[in-house]
Amino acid sequence: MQTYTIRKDEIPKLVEALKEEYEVFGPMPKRTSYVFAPVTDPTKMNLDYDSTIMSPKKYYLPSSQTLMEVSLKNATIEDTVKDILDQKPKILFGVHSCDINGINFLNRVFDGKYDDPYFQAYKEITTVIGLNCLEPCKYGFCRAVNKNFVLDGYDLFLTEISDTHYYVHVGSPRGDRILTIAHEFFKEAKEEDGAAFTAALHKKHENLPVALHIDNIHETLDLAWDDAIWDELGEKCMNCGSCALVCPTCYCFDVQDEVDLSISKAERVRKWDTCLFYDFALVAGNHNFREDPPARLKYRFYHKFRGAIHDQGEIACTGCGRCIDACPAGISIKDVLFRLQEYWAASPTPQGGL
Amino acid sequence: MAKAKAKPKVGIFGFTGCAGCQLNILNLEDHIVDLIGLIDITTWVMAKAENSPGPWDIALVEGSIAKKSEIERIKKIRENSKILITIGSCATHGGLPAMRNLRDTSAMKKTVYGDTTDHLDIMDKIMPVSHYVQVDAALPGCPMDKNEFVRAVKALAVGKTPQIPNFAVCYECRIRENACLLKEGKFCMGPVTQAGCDALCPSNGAVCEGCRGPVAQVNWGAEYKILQELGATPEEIKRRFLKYCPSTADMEEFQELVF
Repeated sequence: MQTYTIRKDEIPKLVEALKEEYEVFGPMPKRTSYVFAPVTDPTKMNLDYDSTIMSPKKYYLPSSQTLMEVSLKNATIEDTVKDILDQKPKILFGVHSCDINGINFLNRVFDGKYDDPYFQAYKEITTVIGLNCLEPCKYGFCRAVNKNFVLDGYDLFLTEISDTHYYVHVGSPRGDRILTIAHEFFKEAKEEDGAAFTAALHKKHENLPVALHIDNIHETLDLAWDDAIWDELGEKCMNCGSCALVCPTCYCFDVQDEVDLSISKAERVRKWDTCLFYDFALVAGNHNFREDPPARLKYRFYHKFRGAIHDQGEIACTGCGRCIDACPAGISIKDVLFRLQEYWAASPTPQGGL
Repeated sequence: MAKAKAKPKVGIFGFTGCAGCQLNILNLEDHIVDLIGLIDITTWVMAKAENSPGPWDIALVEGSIAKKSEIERIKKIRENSKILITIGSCATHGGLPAMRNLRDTSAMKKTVYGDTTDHLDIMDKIMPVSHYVQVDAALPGCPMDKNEFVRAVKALAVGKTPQIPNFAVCYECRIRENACLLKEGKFCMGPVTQAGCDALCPSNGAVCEGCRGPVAQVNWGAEYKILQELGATPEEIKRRFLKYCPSTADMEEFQELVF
C-alpha cells in the first residue's frame, strides 16, 4: 500500500484547497471545549484536540431530521434522501479512532441490521480523514475496549510522526480522490518515514492505559444482575440523557409528525431519543416497560455491553469517555466497568488445573 | 378541500403575574397572522376592545391564583371552556409571585401598606391554577416559550393534545453542544427541569434557573447532592428548587429532602 507524508503547517492550506469541492468539518474550539463544526477558519482547527462534546455521529444521524415532506393539498409524500445526496460532499477532518469505530458501529445498525436510506445517503457524501491518538485523552479508555485503532471506516488516516509531519494511510478510493485534487500537499513516504510511523505506534502503546479488561463483560453482567451497584447508580442518575446524546454509538430516535401553521403541509421528523427517558418505553394503554428511572440506567448498561453483542456483534462502547465528561452526576462508565471487573475477579475459581 | 370547520373560539386570560406571557403572544410577529387564521380569539382583554363573555373552546390562562376573587373567576372560566391550558410558570407552578409563600405575609403587608391592610384581598398561599380547577395541558416557562405556544396551537387546531417534552433541559443543552455548567461548578438546574426552552439560558452561559418546573420523575436528591458538593448551602438549594415552583414543595420526593 502506498503511504504518504504531509507537513503539519500545510494542513490549513489543504483544508482551504478541499473547500472548493467539499464542505469541511473539524475540531473547532467552543468555550472551554471543542466541537466538530464547519472549518470556517482553517487556522482555528486544532488537530491536537482532546475530545469533542458530541461525536461525529451527528453527521450521519442528525439530532433532528426531516424524513418526509407531506403536502396535504396535493396529496403527495416525498422523502428527503435525494436532498441529502444533493448536498455538497462533506469531509470530516481529524476523526479519532474511537469515533471512526463509532461510525462503523452505526453502520452495523443502519446499513446492516436495518436498511436506513438516510444514514446510507449521509455515508455516501461523507469522506473521513482519521487521526491516530498517540496520547490518552482525559476520560477515554479506548484501548480497554479495543477501539484505539481502526481497520476500516476511514478514507485517509493521519499519524503524527514528528513535530512537523503526519504519516498518511489511504483507506479508499474517496481518499485517493483527495490525493488527486490536492496532490501538491502529499509526498510519497520514504523508508525513514515508515520507521518513524512504527516508532509512533510504540509511543502510542506506551501511552494508552489498558488496566481494564472486559472480555467477560456479558457474563459478568449476568452475574451482577442483582448487584447493589445498580441501586447506587440509580440514586445518583437524574435520567437527563446526556450520556446517550454524546455517545457515538447510541442510535435511538423518536419519530414525530409536525403540521405547519397553514395546515396544508406536514413533515415527518426523527429526533434523537434515549432509553433514559420516561416516554421511551411507554406504550399503548399507558404501560411502561421501564417505569422506574434506575431500571432505565441499568437497561442502558445491559444494552451497551450485552444486548449489542447479540444485535450488532460487538459492544456499543468505543471508550471515548464523552459520557463521563457529560454526566452532571459524575457517573463514570469506566468506574462501573472496573467495579464489574472486580466482581468477575471475585467470583470463586477452582485452584490448580490448567 | 372540504369546507373548513369553524375555528375554535379562544379566550386568553391573565391572573396574578407580570403579563409577560400574554405579551409573548403579541410578540409572535412572524406567526400572528397565521395563528389568527387557525383560531378565533374572542376574548383577550390585553389586546382587544370588545370581548366575549364566553363560552370558549380553549381557555389560555396566565398567572397564579393569589386572591380569593381569582378563585371564583378561574372556576367560571373553567365552567365555560372545553379545554383549559395554563401558559407560563405562574399559572402552571405558582411562579415568581408565589415566592411570597416562603415568607410571612402579614409582615410583608405591613412593610408595603403600613397598618391599613384590610382592603387587601390576599390569600396566605399563592397557588397554581391546577390547585383549583382541572388543567388539560400546561405550557410552562418564564415566560412561556413562543415556539412551544405555536406548536400547541397547531396541535389543538387539528384536535391533538399538545406534546410537551417529558425530559430534562440537558437534552436540548447537549444537542446544542454546550459543556455542562454543573461540571464547571455552576449551580445549574438543568437536570431537574423540564425541557422545551431549547436550553436558552445555558446556551448563553447562564445557569438554568428551573423556570419550566420539575421534569417527570424528578430526582431532587441527586441534584441536591451535586449542588451541595459544589458548595451551595441547603437554604440556597431550597430557594433554587422553589424559585419558580413553590407548588413542588408538595411533591412527595421533595418532602424527603432535609433542608
